[in-house]
Amino acid sequence: MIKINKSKKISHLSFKIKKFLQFYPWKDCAPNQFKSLDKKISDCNVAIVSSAGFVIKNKQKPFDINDKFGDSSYRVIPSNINSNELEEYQKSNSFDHSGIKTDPFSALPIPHLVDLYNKGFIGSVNPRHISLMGANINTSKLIKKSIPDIVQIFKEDKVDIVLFIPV
Amino acid sequence: MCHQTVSLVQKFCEENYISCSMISIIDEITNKLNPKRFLSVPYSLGFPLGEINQFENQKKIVKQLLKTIQ
Repeated sequence: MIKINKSKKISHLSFKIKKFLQFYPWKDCAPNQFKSLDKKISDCNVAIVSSAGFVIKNKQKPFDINDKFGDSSYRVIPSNINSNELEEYQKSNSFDHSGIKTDPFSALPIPHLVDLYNKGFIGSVNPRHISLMGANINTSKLIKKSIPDIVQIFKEDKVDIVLFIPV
Repeated sequence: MCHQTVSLVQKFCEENYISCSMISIIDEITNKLNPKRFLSVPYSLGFPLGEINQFENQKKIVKQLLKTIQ
């Protein structure tokens, strides 16, 4: 069993990473407009966005782990995916990758949503979910190309709720 | 960077009236990003839902994440 450090503070990271993160010009991601959920969660269609860098083995192009600014593309992962079909391409060296390699659904919890649907806690599990490689330093391509596509996918699918799982 | 990448997607989803919530592993970063909603978890990077192969415990986190929305 893998022992998990219970710390959630930046202080558990290495000195080099900690310094980088402290001085990094983080984007303000507060939405300029939003709407409160106007229906019960039990009536909502739910999708997931994971930054674990999963692709479907032998079917989708791997994320470019050599792109020094980070690969800002995305992959669509269907709800009926099996964990052994997922392959991880996450370039970040700031975390232990063994967990998401061993248990991909720990960073893309589709079966968990299916179980919550079966128990009536949510209305439906969206047939499409999104995989990104989170290590994006240059966010302009992400904002100009990938995010509009992702929002369009969710609008087409009439998604009510998106859960975001950074790794 | 993972927190920022998903927070940016969150911003544009919210602005298109899709409700969002995200896992926060490192709250110092999440607070700088300022997403609409998040669930702080006591786990390390790489383990957003806690211990691997612990389906029921992971599902509890997913359920708590959903509850932040309503």
